Amino acid sequence: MNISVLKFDAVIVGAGGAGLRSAIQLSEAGLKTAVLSKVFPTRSHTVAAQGGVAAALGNSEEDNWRWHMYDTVKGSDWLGDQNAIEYMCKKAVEAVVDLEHYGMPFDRTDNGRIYQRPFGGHMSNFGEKPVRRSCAAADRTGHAMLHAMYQRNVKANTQFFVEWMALDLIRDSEGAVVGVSALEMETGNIAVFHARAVIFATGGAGRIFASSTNAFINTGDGLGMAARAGIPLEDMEFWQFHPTGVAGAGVLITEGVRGEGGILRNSDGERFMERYAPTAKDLASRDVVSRATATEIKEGRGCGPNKDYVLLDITHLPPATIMKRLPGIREISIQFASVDPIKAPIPVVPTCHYQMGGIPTNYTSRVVAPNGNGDEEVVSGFYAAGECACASVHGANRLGTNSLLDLLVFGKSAGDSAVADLKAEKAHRPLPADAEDMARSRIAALDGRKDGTSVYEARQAIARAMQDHAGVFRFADLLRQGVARILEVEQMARNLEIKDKSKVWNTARIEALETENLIEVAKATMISAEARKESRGAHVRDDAPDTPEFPNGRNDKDWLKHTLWFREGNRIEYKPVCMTPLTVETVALQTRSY
Amino acid sequence: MEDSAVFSRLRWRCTRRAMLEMDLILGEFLEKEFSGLSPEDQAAFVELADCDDMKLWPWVSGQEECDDMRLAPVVVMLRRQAAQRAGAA
Repeated sequence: MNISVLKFDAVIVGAGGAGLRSAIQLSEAGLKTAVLSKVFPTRSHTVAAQGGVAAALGNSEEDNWRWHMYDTVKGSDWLGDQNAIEYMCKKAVEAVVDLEHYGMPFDRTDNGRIYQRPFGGHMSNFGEKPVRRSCAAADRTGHAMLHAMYQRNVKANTQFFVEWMALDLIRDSEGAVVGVSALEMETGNIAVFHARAVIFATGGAGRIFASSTNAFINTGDGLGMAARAGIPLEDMEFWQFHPTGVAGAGVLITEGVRGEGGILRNSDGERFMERYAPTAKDLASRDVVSRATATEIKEGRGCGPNKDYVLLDITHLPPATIMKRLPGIREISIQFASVDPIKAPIPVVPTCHYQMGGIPTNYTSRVVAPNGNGDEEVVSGFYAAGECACASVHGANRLGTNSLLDLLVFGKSAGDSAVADLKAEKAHRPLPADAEDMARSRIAALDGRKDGTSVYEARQAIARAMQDHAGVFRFADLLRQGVARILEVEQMARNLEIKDKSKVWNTARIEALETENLIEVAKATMISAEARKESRGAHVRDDAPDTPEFPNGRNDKDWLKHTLWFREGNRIEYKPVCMTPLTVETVALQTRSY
Repeated sequence: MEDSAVFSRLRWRCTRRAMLEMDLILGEFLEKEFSGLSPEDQAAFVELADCDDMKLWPWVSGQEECDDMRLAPVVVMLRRQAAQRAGAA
């Protein structure tokens, strides 16, 4: 096997929003910067972020970053670190202005300023009334953002390695990160990228769930690499779900369908929302609808051969209304559910959307990990930003339009931090003698194995276990069984066999390597979720209900802390939430209600 | 590159896209329909797979008409594939 060593000042893994934003900082500082990506940069999943980016510009009406900070802390159900949240909300304006300078075609007001629209959870004056804070470029904000930043990188001479997959992080004997190993798909060769700074911007891992809105690319590669290199994963029990994704496909059915009279039914044909929300019924909030659906499925009233979805029925609406008021829904339903909703109900299920947890970083995007003395320290040479990182600004639940803001602000700070650190330390630390051993042995094992598990089988097993045991509404017994089940599935994922042993464009091998990353994220999620015995934000347990002592089931006395999952021994540690912002007063604990 | 590698590369580019919707549609079409296409339509499909999803999705979901005469027939096939699925359900 050929191993070549490529030397750069900085290597960025991932070419979505966070990766491109950090690369601009590095390349414009004159540093030799490589960006590795499994796909062409403008094919990254950031494209799917259509909503906008939050920034208290105050263009349409009075706004203030302190109000944005309050909304973010509240959204996070107080699990977000308040220093990082202050940093992000304060930097939001600059982040948007930077983008504008890169040529981002924001929507404008008549007087030429950036147009801002309202979005759920965006409020003025500390939760008083809605405010227009989201900046967008029509319904293609993420797409426009990627194009603008890609062009800027081309101009700054960032070197792109497209259709390369990073395999493993390389750390030296002191634990410093000194590079990554990576596979070039076109040749099948492995190379070592020797760098003074490594930035992970690998996105989320929503593909661990059977029903997910995430594109196939989101396999948590950065999280898998970090976990194998001994770095913990933070708050992985927190995943945002949407109540109605097409069962099996994951594509979203907008909430407007229920607004127009759509009814959810179980296997008995019962309109079950009448029992859970007698007044609002099918128009109850996302959380309530998701939990009711999960309960119906758990109690055996799901539909289909596996009783694992419910039905969204609009057959009682006149076809003309469907065509006029719900454009696109008929096409989506036909395309992805093989159902014409004029004639038959659409199978739907709560669907995973966004990962709040990730690789632990501080607000300067430097990766941090416990040092064994009860404190945490920076992992030298290692940075992370975007959905793969946990700064933590989203805490237990992300505020809408803060995902694009997160990747802009922390992508930039990752770049800036690396530039500052590289000024202080000029030389490359030497590569360890075994730099590529882990990657090489993983590939050799895949190539040599006979009578193993197929990648398809292992992925199905992971996705089913996560959906059945750690979905949108969680039950103590299912979580306990889920831990045992995911550890069994791990044995399958560690025993993958691929039939195709060729080198050039061996997609079977690449998918197997992705699966080895997915299983790490799946274990982290299941084990962290089982361990957290409260309800908070997106983690809602049947056995931690709303009581006077614990409103919404949240228990700050015992659980106001971040989870850290370590791959070795599936160990869990906890670390405190930062309740001290950088310059302003703490947003004091309150019950989260809207 | 051998034919099998060219096909593998196309499969990767059809199933690692920006949007889940396009992963699902292009992936299925590639497996089920691609081999039966004429060489011209195969070339058009390869070209379509190189388009941004934000351009492709409005065509395939019927929100916009594809104005490229070479690509339009394959866009129609992608839409027909979906309609047939619903008919079979």
